[in-house]
Amino acid sequence: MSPIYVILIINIIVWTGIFFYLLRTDNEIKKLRKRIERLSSKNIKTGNNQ
Amino acid sequence: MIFLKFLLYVWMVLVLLGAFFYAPLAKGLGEYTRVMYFHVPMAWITTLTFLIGAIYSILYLRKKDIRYDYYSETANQLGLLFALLATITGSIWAKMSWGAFWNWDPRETSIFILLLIYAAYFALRSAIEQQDRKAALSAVYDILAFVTVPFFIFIVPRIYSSLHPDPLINTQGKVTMNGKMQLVFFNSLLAFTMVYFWMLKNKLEVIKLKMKLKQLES
Amino acid sequence: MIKAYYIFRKDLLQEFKTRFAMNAILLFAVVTLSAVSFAIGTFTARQEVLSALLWIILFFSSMSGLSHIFVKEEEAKTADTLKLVASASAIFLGKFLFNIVLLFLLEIIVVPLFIALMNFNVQNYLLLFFTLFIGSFGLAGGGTMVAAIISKSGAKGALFTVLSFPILLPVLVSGISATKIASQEQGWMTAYSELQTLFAFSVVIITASILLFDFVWNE
Repeated sequence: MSPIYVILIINIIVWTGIFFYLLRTDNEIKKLRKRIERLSSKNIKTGNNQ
Repeated sequence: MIFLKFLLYVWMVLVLLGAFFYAPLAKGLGEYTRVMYFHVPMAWITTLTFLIGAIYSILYLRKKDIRYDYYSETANQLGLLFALLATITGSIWAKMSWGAFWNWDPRETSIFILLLIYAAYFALRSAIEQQDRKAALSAVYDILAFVTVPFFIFIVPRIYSSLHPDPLINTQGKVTMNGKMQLVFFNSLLAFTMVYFWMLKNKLEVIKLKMKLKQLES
Repeated sequence: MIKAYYIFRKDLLQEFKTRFAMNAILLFAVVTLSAVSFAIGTFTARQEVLSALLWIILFFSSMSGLSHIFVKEEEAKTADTLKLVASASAIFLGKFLFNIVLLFLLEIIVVPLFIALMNFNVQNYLLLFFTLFIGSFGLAGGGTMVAAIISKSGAKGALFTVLSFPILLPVLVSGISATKIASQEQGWMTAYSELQTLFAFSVVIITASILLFDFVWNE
């Protein structure tokens, strides 16, 4: 196995890591958004918006 | 949306495969041609993100909205990261084509100065405690620094002759690319830019949502 | 414009009373000059090295004094009064004028001393003079602006050199290059692009500073 394959595999592994990290942050953003929605709707219901 | 992201994943893998197998090697550079497909996108993204940071700084001074200060800080953080990556990949390339990792070529000097400027920017940020004062002063410094950047990129290499191949500076670029190389090169440039914008978008989104959350909880 | 002159005169009068900035900057320059002179010793260094040394001495001694102009206003708490009297750009111009006079004074004393002590051979005195003249504008412009930023931040002095060095580096690089040319040949044409850079940089940095100073000063 020539060293160029090793480098390629390392590159792909690094890229996969970055990719899944970004996907995870995407999910966290979604969660955060839901939480904010819930909070703001609760505030409107109880009437203590400010 | 998620489909597009997986498409980006496949695209980047294809770019990597292309960089390592598909593209032919340049004369005289051997296997080290492949660094080009990573070095140039990094350098391009560095300029792009510092430009975005400077634009957010101007926006902050205009609107006095603290959100823009966080945005420009984020863009500059990413810029520092990509500048470091560009320096490292460039240094590897320099070792192979010029014989040393570091020899103060004007290009190397200018990226070094760029790192120094933004390190100073973050040093300034850490020195000030008041939030609005920190935002205003660092925005001013960011713009002032960005104004001087063209001098490093365009003017200093003209005074000291550079060996750096660059279509922007010397029209007879020393690395001439054929069709296959160009294909991989521009695909790599685009794919990396996409990844960068994804990163930036996520970071800005988190800042925006956190500010909203704070507002709701208080 | 007239207000800028008044501020300049006020700072000058104040300076004559205490001579703080002048003493700091000149003594710093003399100390560095003698340190360099001792280090090099009796043999003559190459012209390239000498022109770089001249600019390093000028740069670091100006860094020791230029920030004083704004820091003293903050320390004496006179900044707010000044704000009432004049507009931001008038204040900037006044302070800038003062700093440039300080730099000229520094150069008048240090450069002849440097030429005498270090055996620095100058072929084209007019070019050297011209380079120093335009270079001072760039140094003073960037230095004054960074001084204003520094005076508003918590860490006074410690950050000044760190912040101004990368911004002022084009002045240093092209100044060193032009000085080297002045020491090696008679002609002007070879130094053309350096002088152009110095001039363009000075114009850009002074314009940007005047535009941005308002945001720093009223913070």
